[in-house]
Amino acid sequence: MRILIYTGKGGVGKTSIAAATAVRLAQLGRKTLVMSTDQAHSLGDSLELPLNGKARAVMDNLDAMEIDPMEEGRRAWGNMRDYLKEIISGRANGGIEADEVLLFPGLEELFSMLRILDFCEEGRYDVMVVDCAPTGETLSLLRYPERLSVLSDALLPAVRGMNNALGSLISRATTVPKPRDVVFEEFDLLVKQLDRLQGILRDRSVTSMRLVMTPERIVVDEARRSYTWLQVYDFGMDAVYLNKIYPEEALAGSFAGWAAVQEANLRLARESFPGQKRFQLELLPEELRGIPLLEQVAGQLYAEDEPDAVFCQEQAFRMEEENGTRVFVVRLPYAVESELQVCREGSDLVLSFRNETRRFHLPDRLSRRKLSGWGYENGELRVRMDY
Amino acid sequence: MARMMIFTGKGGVGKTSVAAAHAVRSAREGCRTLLVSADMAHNLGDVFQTTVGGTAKEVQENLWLLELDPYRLMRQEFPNVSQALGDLLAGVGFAAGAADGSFPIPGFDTLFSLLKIGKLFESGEYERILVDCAPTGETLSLLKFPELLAWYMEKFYPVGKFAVRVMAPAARAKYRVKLPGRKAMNEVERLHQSLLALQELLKDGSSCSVRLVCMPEKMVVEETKRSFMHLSLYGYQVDGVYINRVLGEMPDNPFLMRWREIQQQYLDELGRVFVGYPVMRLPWYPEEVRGMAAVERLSAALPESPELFAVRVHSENETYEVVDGGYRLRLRLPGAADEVTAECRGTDLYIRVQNTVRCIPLPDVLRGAAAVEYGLADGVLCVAFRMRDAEGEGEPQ
Repeated sequence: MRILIYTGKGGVGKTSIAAATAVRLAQLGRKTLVMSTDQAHSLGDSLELPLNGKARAVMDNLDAMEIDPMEEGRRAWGNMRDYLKEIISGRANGGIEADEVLLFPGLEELFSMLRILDFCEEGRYDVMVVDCAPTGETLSLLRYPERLSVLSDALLPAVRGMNNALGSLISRATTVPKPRDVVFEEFDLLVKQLDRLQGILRDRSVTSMRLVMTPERIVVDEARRSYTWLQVYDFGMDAVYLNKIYPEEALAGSFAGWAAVQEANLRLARESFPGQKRFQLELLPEELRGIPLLEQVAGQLYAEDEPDAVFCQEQAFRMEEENGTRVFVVRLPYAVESELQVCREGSDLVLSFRNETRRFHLPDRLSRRKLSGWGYENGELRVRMDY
Repeated sequence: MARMMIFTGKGGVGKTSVAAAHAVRSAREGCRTLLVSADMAHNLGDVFQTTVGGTAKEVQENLWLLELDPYRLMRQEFPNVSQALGDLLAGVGFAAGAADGSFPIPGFDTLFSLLKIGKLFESGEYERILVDCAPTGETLSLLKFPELLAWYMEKFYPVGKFAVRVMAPAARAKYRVKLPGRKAMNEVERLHQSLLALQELLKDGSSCSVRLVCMPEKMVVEETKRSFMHLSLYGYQVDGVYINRVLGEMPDNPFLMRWREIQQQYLDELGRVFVGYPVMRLPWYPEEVRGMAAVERLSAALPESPELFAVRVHSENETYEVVDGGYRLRLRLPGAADEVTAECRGTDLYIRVQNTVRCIPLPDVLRGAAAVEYGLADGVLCVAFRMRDAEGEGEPQ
């Protein structure tokens, strides 16, 4: 079982890339499911077929679906939400805003991802291609399972104990209704599911994250931040897609100047994702829609590569702590210490050796620290960061 | 009275550039102008090709730049809350998660930035404050937070105080969880008050408004529609939308001329959504907006002042009412005759008045609902929605 998660900010074309990838996999004979968890679905547009919350066959070996986040939300935490609603609707002016505010957009996306777990445990497909919400939001969600399971282990028994002992007293004193047991049970179940989901998403031989971007500065920068985040949390990421590269004929006339800008951003992307498989796709003369066009594009995009291969197994860097000093550790098995150069450029850490440059966007917490020294031993570069 | 404008939109649509173009224009008009970034991924420095930090920096006459650091703000303004939060999280083993520097609760980072901006606004130091705000999704969850937080606070605050007094020792001994101390709880109350004040400020349509920045591309248009719906729903005054990167006539570039046609359908759609709102189109210059010269070029493409900075009140917002078993939308359509039709299509409500079509993005709770009845009376259109059958309602157990 392989799970390929395509993510990137809105407008970079991740849905098209995910759809093209799925079409290709189906052609290669894999039983494939492509699903979209985005609130604003465009997978159906991309395949030019109406889709909904049920998987439907769209071609040989390929099923597709658009997850309904509302439905998933209700399934996952309907009781908890009702409880919150009870609390909130105590206010007279609740109205539709109160109902809307309870649809935390982030949480719904997360619950949509629980469907990955269902399909994975069911084992009906060889590959699942997931078209996921915009980068920042998606990623912040993947952090929850970890945190929630901590909550359930440590905090929940405490709260539950207090609730049993003091709940009615609190309710009387403050008009906060006492949560029913079913609320706790639901939470417990949810946490267990999220924990299993996390296990699957963290397994590099199963799940690969893939970042889609266009060669524009802001887009590449956002992808760099996501990349850093994925490394910090040790999620497996194995490929980047540079999409909508302007072909030569688009760089004519008044757009000639864009060529240099595009080239600079492509270089930044090359330096920023070392070890990642890089796929490139030019801007087409039309919107990428319909299975025939997707097939054609996927052929160009993947050529000899199998889209479900694990293209990169390694964590690009990790962080350690030595007596309050943060150490940024990069594996560089074949480097020679005398040829290494390490410096800071803004919030980037830049390594150069021979003709190669690698650039790491530092995590926010580290970006306020200074580079206080570095050393190379056992094939690892250790960069110390201090205030 | 100072004027505050919040520029928001998805990352990459050029909201920083558009905000910068306004700031340069405003400063030139002789107004003391502050351009402040509340986006965690600051790029004011990039756009102006200078270094900007946590204290306002004058980069030319009447123009100050500021990039806010929410961590520092939180530690400075609410040290005890930060401490309590830290203790609480450490107590349940969260501390390691802070390695990426993210806030434990999503959306709170921008919150502290906005609180700071509220203070700057009230200080009267600046005549115009232009805010370059985080990408739409985060901003929205944040703009929701004051509501939600206030609700929670009002309900739980008494519990909180009680809990601190009675339960803290037990919690510490039995569950090794450290509950916030009294100092922290006092700060929580102060935070609550600040939030209420902030909400009032942000929702005061006479001085503060939101401008949406977007591009004529499918996904960006969809996201912009949703932001617009949420902002209107929560009572924020949206008073303009900028469509950036509109391709012009380019006889020498047939390839992009095809994309110009594709852009047209999205321009049309935005026109249907923002009926009655100022829609400003900005041409696509094939360059990244960096350095004063590029900002000036974009600034020259903006509409004329003073209308540019005026608050353009739009009083025809739709309102929703909760009715038995569903919701009812009320929408003022002054001057509309009888020939009105309303129909749900996907996530939008399409209203056809004679020959014009207006498209209203619907709140998430109405996704998949059907418009069952509608009628026009006294220039007000009422649309009743029936919720789709919620199968498995009540779930077993």
